[in-house]
Amino acid sequence: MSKYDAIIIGGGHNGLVCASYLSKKGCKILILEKNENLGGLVNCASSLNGFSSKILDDLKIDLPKLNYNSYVVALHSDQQHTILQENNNKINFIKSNASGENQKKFSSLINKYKIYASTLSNFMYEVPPRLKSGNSKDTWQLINMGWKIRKLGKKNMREFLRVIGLNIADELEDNLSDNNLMGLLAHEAILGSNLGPRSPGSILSLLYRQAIQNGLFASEKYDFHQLIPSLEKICHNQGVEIKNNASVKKIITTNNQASGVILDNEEKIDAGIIISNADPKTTYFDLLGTEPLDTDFIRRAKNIRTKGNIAKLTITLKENPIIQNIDKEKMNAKFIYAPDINYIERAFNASKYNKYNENLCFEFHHCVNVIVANIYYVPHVKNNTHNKERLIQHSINLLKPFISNLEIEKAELLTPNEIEEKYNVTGGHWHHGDFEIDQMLMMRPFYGSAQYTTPIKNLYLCSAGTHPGGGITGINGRNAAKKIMRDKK
Amino acid sequence: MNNKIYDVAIVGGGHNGLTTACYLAKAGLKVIVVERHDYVGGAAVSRELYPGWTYTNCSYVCSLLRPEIFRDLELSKFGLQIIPYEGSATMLDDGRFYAHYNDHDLTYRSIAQFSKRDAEAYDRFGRDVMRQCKIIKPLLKMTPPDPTSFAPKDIMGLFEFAKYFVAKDELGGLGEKEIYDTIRFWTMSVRDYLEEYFESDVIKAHLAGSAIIGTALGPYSPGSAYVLLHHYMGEVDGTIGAWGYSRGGMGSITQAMSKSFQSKGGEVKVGSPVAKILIKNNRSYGLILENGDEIYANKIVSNLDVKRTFLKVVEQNQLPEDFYLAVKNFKIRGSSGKLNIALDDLPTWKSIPVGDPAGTGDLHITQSIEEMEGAYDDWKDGNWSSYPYVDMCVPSINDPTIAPQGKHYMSVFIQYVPYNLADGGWTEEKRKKFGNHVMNRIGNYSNNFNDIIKHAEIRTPKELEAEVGLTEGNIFQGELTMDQLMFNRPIPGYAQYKTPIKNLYMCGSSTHPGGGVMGAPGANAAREILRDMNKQIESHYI
Repeated sequence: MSKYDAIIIGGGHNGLVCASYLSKKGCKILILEKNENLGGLVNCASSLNGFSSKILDDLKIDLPKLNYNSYVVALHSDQQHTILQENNNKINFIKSNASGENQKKFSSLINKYKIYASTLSNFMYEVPPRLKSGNSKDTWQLINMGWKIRKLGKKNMREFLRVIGLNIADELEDNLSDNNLMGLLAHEAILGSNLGPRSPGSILSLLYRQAIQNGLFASEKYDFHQLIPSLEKICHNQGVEIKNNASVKKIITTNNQASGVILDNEEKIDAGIIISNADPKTTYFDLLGTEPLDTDFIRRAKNIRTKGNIAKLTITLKENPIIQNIDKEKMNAKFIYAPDINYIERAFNASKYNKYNENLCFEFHHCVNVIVANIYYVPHVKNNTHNKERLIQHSINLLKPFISNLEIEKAELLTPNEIEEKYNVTGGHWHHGDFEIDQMLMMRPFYGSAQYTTPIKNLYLCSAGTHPGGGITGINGRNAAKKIMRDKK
Repeated sequence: MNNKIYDVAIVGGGHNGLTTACYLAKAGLKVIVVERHDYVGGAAVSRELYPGWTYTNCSYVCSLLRPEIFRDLELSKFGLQIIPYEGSATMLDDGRFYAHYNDHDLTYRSIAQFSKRDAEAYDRFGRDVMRQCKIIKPLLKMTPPDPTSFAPKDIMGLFEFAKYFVAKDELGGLGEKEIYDTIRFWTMSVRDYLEEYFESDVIKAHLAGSAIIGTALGPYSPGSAYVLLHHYMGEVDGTIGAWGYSRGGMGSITQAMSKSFQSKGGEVKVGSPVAKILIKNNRSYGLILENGDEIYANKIVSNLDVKRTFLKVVEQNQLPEDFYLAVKNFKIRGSSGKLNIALDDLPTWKSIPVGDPAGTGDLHITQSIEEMEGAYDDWKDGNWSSYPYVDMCVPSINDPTIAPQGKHYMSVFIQYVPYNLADGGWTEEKRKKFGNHVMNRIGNYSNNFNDIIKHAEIRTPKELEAEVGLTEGNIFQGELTMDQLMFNRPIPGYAQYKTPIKNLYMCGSSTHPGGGVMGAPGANAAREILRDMNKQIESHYI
């Protein structure tokens, strides 16, 4: 008899959430984390407003909210920045060169998407149904999903079915004329994806962002530094064992059934259930090995698109940064530089060929004298051939025009390749795989592995690579736990 | 003054307008086709544009034309003959070429010289694509059901649609895995799709060509795999995926249709540009021509693209506001150019030996998918591609009727060419420069091409628009992207060939299933019109 009911590989937020749910039901869980600290990619995040409030309620977590009015600044090279703020689902323009009509249309576009996003969010807390399993429960769930879309009403449903395949650039150009606003919304749509503003499907990616967040530019945010400690505390209280610096080498299977893991130090731990919070590719190719899998399955697993393209730059300045035309009180804003659609598209063009050009897009936050920026499109490249010094210089050059006193004490950059290595995420992809129609719902991560299950009995997935997708929501972990509990019965 | 009232008047005599016309005439209706030019054919035309040479100056090969329509309209009887060709090829800079033959073993060998593994994968690829073709074929003939409607017709339609998916495997339904594959196929980029099968650049580039022709998508854009299907599902004489030349040029197709139509008592009025569609109380009742003549008809069918129909020949105040806006936002982008070249001699290629059957089909110039995507990047910036994807053919090898004895006609299709150039509009000078740019590229791959050019007609999207009337010169009358396919095509809620105006229908490629010399939109529109009139005819298609 093994000591644990289940082992969770990876102590990211989804692993912790999954452990919390399972241990609540009395399961004895062991979490194995490769790094010294828990949290995984959460450590790469700079804000948190997408964590599921349902999970917070379920687990009775009281996550402190940050109660300041945060602004969003769309930087412009002529220093005439657009400043806006979202309060109670309403977007206020503090300062903008865009015409009143443009501002109105901008808000109405976001409100339109909000309706569709809430339809999508209906599906997020369900284990996605299979399309043709012959099981009446799946059929019923599918009909139910169709009904929810129908409930949008004729006009909205038509528009919904149109925009899910559309690209954001077309939609923006049809409705707006202000470059800065168009760039801002395009940025929100494509950040973290492998799409350009003109790639079909970029609206869907925006809808997903909206579905998991309280508001696209919402000011109401959680203090994300508290998330992982809170989850850790719950786990401890519920008797979950957590082992840091424990890198899993292999998942042990016997008779097509997972039975334990072997650590890097050759220690062997048995458990009835193994849950992988690693991304699907890592799970199948590194941890499990392809031996027990059939060819078609391996091919499908290989074909998931997991190329990351965001680099994280952290710079420490000699003094607090000053940005022209931005008051001190608005310095806690999220700053975005994606000046217009064509600029973004050109930056994207280079990333398609695994290159980057000097004119990249970025967003950053700052806290005292530290600036944390996400620079994209910096593609994940084979053999990590980035010239890092140059990349850092390019990134700093991008910030230079906006920060008048940019005197750097220290600059650190994490390329997608380094993110891959540090957090064990294939491709360094934020979301463990692109969110596109062919990689969502019952097709996430791919057919045969979609309902948190795998072809190996008692081996489950709970990472962002599963439905509903990436972002710090915790829903993947929760859904996986539900599925496991159901299977156990 | 002609004061009789027709049952149906069709604006525009392209292949779809003529197809609709034939079916309606067959049902005994009194039909008139009103055409702007002095000849019918739209984008399926062949004309003597240089003495002795018949230029097929828009669409250039035939495959998609539905065989049922072929039979219903008795096109053979009216002179149409399709000559299948035996292969196609992609020429490479290094002097090699990849050839695709109708013969399986030859193709296998041709692939194997680049990659043994790809040659093995080819059968798997062929099988998978054919399966997708089989799925989509019945959908072409279908009037897209409105998923938002509760009308019995739409619910039945949805049921019909779901049938393929839901039916038990033994009854020809799809397996669960195939359903996922289908969804992926419809939404993926052609690059991603091909990479799941092949490793060699040239094979991928050769196959990806069909996915970018005529679209404003690159091979890396999600949704481009579907366009591949759009070009793959054709057939010639029952051979799926085969292509052929129409003897006498593509114009023979529309000529045969026109003859078939007239034999059923139909009337064709050429040289009569339509100025406006007459509408009163939200009902169309006739046409007013540019010369002021009026033609009255109970039903009007527009073969024009949806933008031209509702922004040019229908007054804005006749349309509901959101419909008008939706039409304005319809995506129809010029991305293709065409050269038609009269040659003094047979062009020979540095790589393909004379007499190789692949040389008689379409020849592509492209090195890799990456190069094609680069060509698309240029287009996005408002420039013509520095390394355009070139798809050319010399139909006069198989069809001696279109050029003088011993001379040849070459059709060159170019992807990508913008409708609006970034550095100001098109000028005569830029057009020539563009033509030379393409001819230089072709010249690099040929032994004699530069020396045998007798005359070249250079067509940018501007010329395609001016001559054929296709908005922005888009060859499909609208982008084939997910937001404009099936029940979204052309406008969500108006995908059933009807418009907000009573008695006004659409039958062009702007409607489902889209562009290509297919005839399906025309035949589907005819079916809807006949249904509205409670008429039935015997046919293979309807």
